Amino acid sequence: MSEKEIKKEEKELEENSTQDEAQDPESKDDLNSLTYEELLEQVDKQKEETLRAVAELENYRKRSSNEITNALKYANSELLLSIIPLITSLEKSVEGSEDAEKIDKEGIMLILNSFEKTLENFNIVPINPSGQEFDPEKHEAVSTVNNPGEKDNFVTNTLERGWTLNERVVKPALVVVNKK
Amino acid sequence: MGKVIGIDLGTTNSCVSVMEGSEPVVISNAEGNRTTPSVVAYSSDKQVLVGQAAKRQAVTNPEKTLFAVKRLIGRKFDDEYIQEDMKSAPYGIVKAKNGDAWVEVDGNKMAPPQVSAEILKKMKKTAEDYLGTKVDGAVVTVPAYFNDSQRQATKAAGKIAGLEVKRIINEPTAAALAFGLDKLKKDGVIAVYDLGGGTFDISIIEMTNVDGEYQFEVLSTSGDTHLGGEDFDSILMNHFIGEFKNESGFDLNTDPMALQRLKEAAEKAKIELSTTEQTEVNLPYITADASGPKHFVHKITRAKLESLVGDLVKRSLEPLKTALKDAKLSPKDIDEVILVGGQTRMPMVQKAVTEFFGKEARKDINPDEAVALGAATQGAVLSGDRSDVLLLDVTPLTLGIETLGGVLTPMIEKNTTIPTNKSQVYSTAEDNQTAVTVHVLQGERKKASDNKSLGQFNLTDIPAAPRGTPQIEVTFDIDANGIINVSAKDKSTNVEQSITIQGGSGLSDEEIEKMVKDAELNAEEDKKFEELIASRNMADGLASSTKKAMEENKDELTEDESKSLGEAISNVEEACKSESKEDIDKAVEELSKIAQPLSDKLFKKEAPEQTTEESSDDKPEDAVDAEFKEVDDEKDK
Repeated sequence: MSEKEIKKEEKELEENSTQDEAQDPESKDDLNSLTYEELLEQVDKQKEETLRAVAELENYRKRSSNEITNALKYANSELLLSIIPLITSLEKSVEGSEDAEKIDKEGIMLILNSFEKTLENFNIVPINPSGQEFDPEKHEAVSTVNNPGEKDNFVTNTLERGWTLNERVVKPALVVVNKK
Repeated sequence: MGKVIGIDLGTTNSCVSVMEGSEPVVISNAEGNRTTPSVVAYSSDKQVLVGQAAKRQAVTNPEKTLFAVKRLIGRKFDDEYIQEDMKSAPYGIVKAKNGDAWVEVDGNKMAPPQVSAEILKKMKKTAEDYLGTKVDGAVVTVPAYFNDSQRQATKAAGKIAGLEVKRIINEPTAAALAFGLDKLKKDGVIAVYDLGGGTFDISIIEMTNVDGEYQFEVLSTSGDTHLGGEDFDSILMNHFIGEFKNESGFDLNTDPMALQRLKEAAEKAKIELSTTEQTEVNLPYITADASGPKHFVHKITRAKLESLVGDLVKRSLEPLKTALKDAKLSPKDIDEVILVGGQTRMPMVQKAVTEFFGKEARKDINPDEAVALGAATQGAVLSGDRSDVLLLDVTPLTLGIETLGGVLTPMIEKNTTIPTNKSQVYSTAEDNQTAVTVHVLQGERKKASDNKSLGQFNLTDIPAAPRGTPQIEVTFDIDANGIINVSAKDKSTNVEQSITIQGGSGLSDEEIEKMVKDAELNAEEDKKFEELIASRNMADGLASSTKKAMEENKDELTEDESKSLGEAISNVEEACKSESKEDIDKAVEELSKIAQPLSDKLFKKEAPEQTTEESSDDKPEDAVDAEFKEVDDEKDK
């Protein structure tokens, strides 16, 4: 250890001891009973412990960011597993209809229903704003119309429903707004 | 002092970041997005909307939806630039008493800083929600070409938002900080190519050592205030509209809903083509007529996209020439090139920039976030959060030991911050093995012999026991100076041996880089080796346990059974000597096929032993992850 470093530590030591005095009057006696070498040793020990704590925090951060990456990678598997049967059903509906022009509407409606049910199970809920007041937090205005018979700033037509996931808007509803 | 946040107050989007530990992180807003549109709207009931919500209501309220206010901030109304912008702005731009360009909403004149303050308030709130404390200090970035009055106006915006702007820094400087260029500790010239959503900036900055601190100076800037990612999107969208018209005769321009879907699809396709060579745009029921619904299905290749937007990319190269000329430099004088702005993810843009400067551009930081991250880094320095005293080292290479089959089993992964330590329990590979060799290795290769050997020692006098039973705890400890201490302790006897390795990373930076590169180059080969060893170890274990079971239950088996089993076992043992994973797997399969029907007879007596093993599995700290090979005969060194 160089002389400079020793001096620096002495200074740190002084700071530490004054702090201790302020916080805990008893520790002053403890410190006074220690030799200079013992104090130096304590400082070294504390320094080492601090370094290790900081390093561990840093490593913890690295580990958790890896874990988050991995967790995100497979976070969708449950949702995916419940969507796959719907794809199978859709495939069947196409296979089943011999005439390509005519697709069984009842079957498609059933699939659509179970699709919505599945999404609902994952707390993915549609936003259907027809007839409501325009709310830019949940709706996105695609265009405006001027229908004197309807209220100003109300949704006259929903072009595409929006969706929320756990109450947060993931896709706003696309709407036409009445403007006077 | 409280946290100082970093804000990238952009023309189209803004982003906020804060230092956490040693790294800046971007904070997501309440809507869950990492960037917020720089749009402010005043609704009829005097409500102020900021960000995504403001953008969504724009068509219903065009005169009171303010966007790109950054183009106005700190400028005079008579400024040519403002006069040009006024032609396209749907909101009112008026002359203030002092001659500045202001905006007008509902007959109220407002200074641009008042509007920008709304965005800053939202960014401040985002940070406060995340941190859970009040934030009052911020570093805000501005384009390098901003003059003093534009900087003062930005500062005023911060003040109105309740933020003390600790410093205004240049966007390219913030980007350079985010890329850690100040840590290179050398003088140099940096080109920052920033192609954002709506604007393009090129800045040439110089990094010099001033009294031990690295400072950045802007040498020149140039750009195009109306060139950005959105132009790429609209070119692609128009291409789709044209294609659909050719196919079906329909003009989608008249259908706002179809346009909306096409716009989203075009942006998505553009993004996908940065990582794949071809993508398909699939928009069923895009429109309909008397003959029925119409679908838009269109394949597009990266090459096609590149031919469409090639002119835009070329257009960005002109300002590069101007900037270099103004700085009196040539492309070869540039030491580092960094890419900022989402559009720089496009391979064609990266290639054009690389070719222009004759140098690979840095793109390891998210280009949408680099500026905010750099601002947060600067913020941490100003708040005293980033003390270089506690900047700790990391291990440049993985440290581990050699285990059964000549494999490097990692103990401390590369890039782990030191000082640190790690313990793991290992066991023996053979029955009655009384000594193990702890061979300490450094490197990224799977095969032990492909790595650098740092030293080895033997732990002897292990009481005789079946393979896998002894518990040998190996501990790696690296102190702050990089000195590695490796110890091995037999947990049954507490006999311990250790080795201290001075300056374990006594490798030069070049050597380390070479070792890391080698591992990348040989990843395929290493994977094969790892699989071979895994198969071999598994086969070896199976052969030995089956053999043992066979001997113990001799009486239960018929002569034929014993014979075929014995043959299958020796086949496995033979295969294990080869280097072919297929041979080993085949032999194992054969053995399993023969042993399976006999399992009742073979493992009858072993049942109780199995349960004890399972119960020890409950304690993860005692889990045995790998086994040591037997010690070489020459124990004494």
